[in-house]
Amino acid sequence: MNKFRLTLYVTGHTPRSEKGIRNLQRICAEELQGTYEMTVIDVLEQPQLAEDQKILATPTLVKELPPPLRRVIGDLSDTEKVLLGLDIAALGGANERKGK
Amino acid sequence: MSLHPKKVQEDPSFDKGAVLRLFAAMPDGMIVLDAMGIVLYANDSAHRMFGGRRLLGKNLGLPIMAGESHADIEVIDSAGRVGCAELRAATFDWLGQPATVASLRDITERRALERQLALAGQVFENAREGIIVTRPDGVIVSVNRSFTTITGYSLEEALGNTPRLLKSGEHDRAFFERMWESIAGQGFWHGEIVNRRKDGSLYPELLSISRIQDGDGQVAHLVGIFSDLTQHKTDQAALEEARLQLQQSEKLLEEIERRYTVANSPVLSVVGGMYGSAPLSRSAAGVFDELVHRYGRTLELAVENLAFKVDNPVSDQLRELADDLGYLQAGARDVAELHAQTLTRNTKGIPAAKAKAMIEEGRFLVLELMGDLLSFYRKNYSRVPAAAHPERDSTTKALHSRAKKGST
Repeated sequence: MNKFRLTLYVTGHTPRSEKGIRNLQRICAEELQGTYEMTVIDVLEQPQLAEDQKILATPTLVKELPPPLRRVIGDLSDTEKVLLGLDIAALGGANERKGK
Repeated sequence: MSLHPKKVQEDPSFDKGAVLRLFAAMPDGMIVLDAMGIVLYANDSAHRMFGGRRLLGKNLGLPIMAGESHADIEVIDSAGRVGCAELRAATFDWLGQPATVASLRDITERRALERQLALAGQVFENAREGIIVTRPDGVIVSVNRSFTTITGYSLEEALGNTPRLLKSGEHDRAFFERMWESIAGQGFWHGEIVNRRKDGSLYPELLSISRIQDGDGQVAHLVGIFSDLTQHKTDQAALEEARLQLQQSEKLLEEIERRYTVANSPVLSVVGGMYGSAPLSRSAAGVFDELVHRYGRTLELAVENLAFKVDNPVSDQLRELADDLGYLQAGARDVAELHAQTLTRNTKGIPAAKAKAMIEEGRFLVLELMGDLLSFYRKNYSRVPAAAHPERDSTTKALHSRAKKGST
């Protein structure tokens, strides 16, 4: 199975950034069952990287792999909306939830 | 106005161009995104928020938010500057394809203001000074934690009251008239005032009252910032007492010096006449050594008192030492030599901090010893006739045995 490669772009060490990171960690742990590679990039620390990737706003979560490439911006606390936005069919948790 | 909403909605000439012009004129950023988050349309306000960056065809990302509410995001403009925006989104049909319209409200200034307010709030609550905010009529609208700590009144007790709550009765009417004249004329007053705590006790405080004006120049609030001077006053009193004690000791020291150096001094006529000016360290070297040993131990105890807040009987030991020095007819020079030799011996090979403490504490100790010695002479001098003065040698022997006894 292909690994999911997810990159989260945040701005600084703010409570909002921390919350975004926590949400992503939770989604990865609960829904992607270890088949993921997660990177967090602070656009203040690596502005060129953000510029190269044409990041216009934060928090932006990018699913680079598997295709198709998808981006979402905003509040990552609703797991199902995040998975839907990234075009990811969850491997575990979401299906279990649906089955309940 | 010629436009009537109902008429406009029904008017077939209300075309797409009009809708786009409406979008363009909106103060909020409006962005239309396709199903993948690619920008299909952005109005002028959106372009301004992104610093004039070209947005069409760029992948902003699909907006998501918890529930139906909004999400706060940071927008990055073309120069890399970061602003704050409130993001709202809705899905709709755009020219026959599913799309999302995202509105972005610039909240950069609001966030900065909120941060400033939060900081001001933190400063207000955590200031060590007590702070009272009143309306122009004097009614208290806010107090901070330190106000409660200092006065004993809680926020709830203070609210709705006036600062007269703290009135001590220690100041006359003229005092307050001058205060209010200064506030009315100069916009502030600064000075010391005695107030009364909730428990009835009085306390001195250093108070600054300032007028706060609103945008129209009208007095909106008065702010009083005060610090409790109780501890400061106590410290000042203790300092003054220590200064007086030092002054007194120095005077005693001078008096001893004078009595031993002025040729026609009655003490010198007795003591100096009998024993000349040979220093004790030479005339009674053995006993002097014992005295150095004893004085050294007393000095150690004094430093211990200071370091460990214990209560070794330093003053008692100094008095005994002074008595023995008195019996030996010791002078200020002997005391100075005793002190110097002891310091040299006791500070050898010890940590610098301890040596420093010993030298500093030694200054007080030697003054106290001088004072005790003078008291000894004052007490005993008149009762000791010149002819009956004990020989230094015999006294030396007696003390020698006493010193040995003390050291065991």
